[in-house]
Amino acid sequence: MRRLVPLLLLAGCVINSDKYTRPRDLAPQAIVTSLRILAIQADPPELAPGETAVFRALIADPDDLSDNTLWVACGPDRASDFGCPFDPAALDEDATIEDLIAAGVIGFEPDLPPSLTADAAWLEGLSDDERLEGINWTVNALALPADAPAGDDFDFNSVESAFKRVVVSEAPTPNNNPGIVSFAVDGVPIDGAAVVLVDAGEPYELAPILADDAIETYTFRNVDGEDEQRVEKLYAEWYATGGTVDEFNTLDPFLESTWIAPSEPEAEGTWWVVLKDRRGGIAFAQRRWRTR
Amino acid sequence: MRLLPLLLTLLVPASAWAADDEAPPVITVMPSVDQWVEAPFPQSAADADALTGRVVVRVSIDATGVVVGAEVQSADPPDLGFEAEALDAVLRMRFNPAQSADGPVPATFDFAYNFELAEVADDPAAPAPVNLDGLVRELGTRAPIPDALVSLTWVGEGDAPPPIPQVTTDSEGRFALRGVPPGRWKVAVVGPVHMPFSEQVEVTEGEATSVGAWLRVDSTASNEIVVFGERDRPPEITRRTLTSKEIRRIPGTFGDPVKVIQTLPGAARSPFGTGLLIIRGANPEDSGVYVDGIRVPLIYHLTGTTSVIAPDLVESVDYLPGGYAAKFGRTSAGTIDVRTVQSIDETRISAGADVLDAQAYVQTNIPVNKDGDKKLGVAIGARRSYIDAFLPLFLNDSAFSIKPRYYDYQVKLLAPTPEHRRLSLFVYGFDDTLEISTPEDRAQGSDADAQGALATKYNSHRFIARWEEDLRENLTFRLIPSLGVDQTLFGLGDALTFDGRATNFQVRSELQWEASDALTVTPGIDMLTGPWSFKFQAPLRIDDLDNPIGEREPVGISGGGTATYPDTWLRFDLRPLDDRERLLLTPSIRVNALALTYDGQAAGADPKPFTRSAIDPRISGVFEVVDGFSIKGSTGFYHQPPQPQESIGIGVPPDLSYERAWNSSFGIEHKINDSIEYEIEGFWRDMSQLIDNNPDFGGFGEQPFANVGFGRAYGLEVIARHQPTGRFFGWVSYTLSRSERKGNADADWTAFDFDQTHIMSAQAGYDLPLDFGVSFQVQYVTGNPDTPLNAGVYDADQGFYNGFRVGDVNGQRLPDFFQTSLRVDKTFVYKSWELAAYLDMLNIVRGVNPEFTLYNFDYSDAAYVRGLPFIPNLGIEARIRR
Repeated sequence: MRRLVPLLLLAGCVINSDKYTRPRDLAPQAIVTSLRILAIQADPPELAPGETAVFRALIADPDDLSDNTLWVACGPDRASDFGCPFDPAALDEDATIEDLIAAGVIGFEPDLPPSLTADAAWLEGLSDDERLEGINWTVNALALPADAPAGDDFDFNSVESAFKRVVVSEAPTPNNNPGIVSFAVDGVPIDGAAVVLVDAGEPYELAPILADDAIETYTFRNVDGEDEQRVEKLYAEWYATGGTVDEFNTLDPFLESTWIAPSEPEAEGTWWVVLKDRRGGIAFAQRRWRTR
Repeated sequence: MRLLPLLLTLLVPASAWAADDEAPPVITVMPSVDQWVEAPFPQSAADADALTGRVVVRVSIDATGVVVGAEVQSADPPDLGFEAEALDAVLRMRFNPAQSADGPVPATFDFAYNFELAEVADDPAAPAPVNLDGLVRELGTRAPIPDALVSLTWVGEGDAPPPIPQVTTDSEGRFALRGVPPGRWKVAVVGPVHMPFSEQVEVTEGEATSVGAWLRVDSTASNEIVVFGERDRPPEITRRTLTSKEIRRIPGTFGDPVKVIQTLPGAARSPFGTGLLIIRGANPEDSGVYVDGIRVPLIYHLTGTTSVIAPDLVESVDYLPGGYAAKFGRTSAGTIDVRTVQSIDETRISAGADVLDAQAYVQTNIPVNKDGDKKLGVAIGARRSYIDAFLPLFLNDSAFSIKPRYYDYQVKLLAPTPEHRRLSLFVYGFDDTLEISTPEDRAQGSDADAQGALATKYNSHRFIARWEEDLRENLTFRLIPSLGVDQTLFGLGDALTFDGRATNFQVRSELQWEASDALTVTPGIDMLTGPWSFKFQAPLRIDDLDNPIGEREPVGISGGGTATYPDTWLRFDLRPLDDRERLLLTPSIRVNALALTYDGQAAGADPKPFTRSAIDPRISGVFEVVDGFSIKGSTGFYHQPPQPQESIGIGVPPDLSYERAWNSSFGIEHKINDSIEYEIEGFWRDMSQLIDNNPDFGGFGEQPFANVGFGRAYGLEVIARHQPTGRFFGWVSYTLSRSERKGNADADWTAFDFDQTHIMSAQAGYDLPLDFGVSFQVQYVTGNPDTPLNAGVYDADQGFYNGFRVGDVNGQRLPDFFQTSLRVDKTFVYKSWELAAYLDMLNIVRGVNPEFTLYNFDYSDAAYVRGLPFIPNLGIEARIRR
């Protein structure tokens, strides 16, 4: 048995244990440490033919890398799981506005605010029920670093890219974005300009304060041709630049999330909450925090 | 002076095999001496003052007990003439043959011939009274030991009296000696498979002395043999066998004979140690599992740690990675047939527990008539896990709870029948549940329809009867009807539920006709039929998946019908050479057929019966080139019907056909000596008509699957083994293989998801003194293929990133898999029972062992989800045998 002792001491030993990242060491989605697009809002999120939507992106940029956002749109026949295709050659220094529009560009912030007007032709050929349900157009936002090369040298890996869908329909009760009127910390509404002082390492309950009409009731025609009254089911995504977000997703009626402040004193950062109604409607809010 | 052979010992049954193709070679009675031949004491030894000698001879006897071979293994002291005298005597001896459940069988075993030079005792003028007697019994079972040899050695003071002739115990384990002179004697007893026993006794003038001898079974001798190999092969050719001692001692298998299959060539490593059978580069569903010849859906519990049948009930396991004859079908790859006990030779009660589960088993024979000569064999086993009770202790701080739970039961009845008839009934079942849940106020992702407990439940039950009748000496009829029910339940909260049920009535029947010693013809049927049904409820329709911000419409689909597979087969066993044992050719053919009927929404408004058929011609052969060296080969077609989930339809009846595989193999077997053998076999699998996603699928009402896929797999399998002929046993297996798929004829070949280029495992055990045992296993396997992803684009509606594929599908590999496990056994033997304890340390040293790649939220970083951690499993088992 004495010879077994050295073997027993090896119990649980893992060769090359430190060579690879462990799953628990992967960065969580809720903690923002680099350039990220956290949300894209279309206003309104559902368009009738002839209506125009404007767009804004919630861009978290802790290192202040990006100063331009490129917006591209495409119809359902061109969209994929990665949004709209885009030819970076359109960003050539000699490109004209017409060249950019032909490439699908609908905005270039800060100079050209993005917008999209629904063309009545987009619903041509659809049945009445299909027009009620509508089609999705896709809008991509690309947050470009200040030193992003253009033209043939364009590198998609150097940009942060996100996309969302915009519904174009003739629905009798088109969707609206949910409204957030404030942001509460431990039940106390916080003014947008305030910086919340928090104790290092302590937990806080964060919650969005919804507008009265945030949860909509709407009409839906099902496959049997019957109209149903449905009520939206909201959910939230939570982000912070530091600390720990206990729940990245929260669902109504439990929209609150617990955040644990970082243990370092004098640390500063931001909270974000993104509210979604599952129909394309999005709202977001942010607040600042600093540890004591 | 006269020569006295003092000790006779049957030591190690090195190998044994049955003469009946259908009966497994389980030795129920060990061979014993029938006609003793006394060897003269070598003069050369006497001249060298060697007063004792011991020669171990490896003896081979046929089924009548005639010695057909003998070879000296060792002699102590050597080279003094003991070897030649012992060998000459043994060759002229005759033995009572070894017995299996079906009668006498050939056997090979080690036999110790002992010499002692002793004074010639004067014959007494008249029989003296018995003044020394005794009873010899086995430790742990209290069973009397017949045919044990009892001898006396003078250890008293003064001159030694004349030696006392040795005696043999009777059928009740008793012995009696007459006229033993007063004084102190050493009584030595040796049983057929037991450790020597000795005790000193004082014989007093005018008094009778009794001795109680308790013999311990020699742990190096095992009489339980589980066969791994091709049952369809003739028994005369060397079979690949693993003894129960080997099986129980392999670390990580938890003593389960079925789990040991995963250490044999051709079987790939399954992820997380689950029981997925990935044989010769085939999908898990391409291999079939049978219990007593009846197809069953699963052989392992959901945890993958144990099979669903108690180890004590398993008599044999046939592992057929390929090349098998037409008796088995409906699978395009390997087959595993678990056969339960066909006879009960002793009463046995056992109960055990480890960190996973607790189990109990009892078997006995119950007299059913007044004379007690007709007995009903009964075996009952049960097991229940308690992981669900332990896991919450470790997950207190987690945001979720995992509750796996399983149980199984078995009842086997063996009817008292005349020799030419065998009747049995086997009932077994299992129930597995796995539930993962979170508190109500904690979200499981963002989807409102994905909340609630994730639960899966599977249960299966079977009644299997077996009737086997020897109609004539060369004609045997077998009928195996069975009835079973399977149920699969799956649910995610209240929104997503699936309830599938199937009732299976299966009949196997065959008529085995030995037309001559050169030809055996066996026709058979293999019919499976029964109703099936399912109910499926989902929060969205298939078409809704295309629009994540669209309205969802819940859908409820139910369906059902009947499935019938009336297959027939015919097999010939040809032995064309004059030496019938040299060459065996086995051509066979199987006619596959299926008929499915439908009702319910799943198959559309006007479902029509669905019929298909396919023919499997196959041939295999074995040629023994020289003694101990054989070549073998096989080729043939193997058709596999669509899986149940592919057959239910999505608003339209399926339009699928059989998947097809053309399997071939060629190899050699070489038995170097009685201890060491090896086998090398190459294989090739050409797969076509594989059922894959229909590239033209457009939604509900269209065919989701089509026979458009192709596959190929080829490789080399090697196993080298040291038989458990002493204290050591072990084997090394290695598989070199490549398995590829393509979704349609125009697609590129890609590596199969579980393609593992190198699969190597080595396992060995050694018996230590004091009933300790130690064993280990080392496994090295090439990492599974992986598809690299990178640089995701954020879907702001759904809140997650979609990663770009930056390389070929399965174009890179995960790091290699490496694990080492260790097991220590200790048996405490008491007069009436035994207590076995073990510490099974899985993964005592291991590699990173990635099972799959886990990316971070935006695909900018990745980590590996690793395989099983270090698991120390402490178990105990109490055994009572009579």
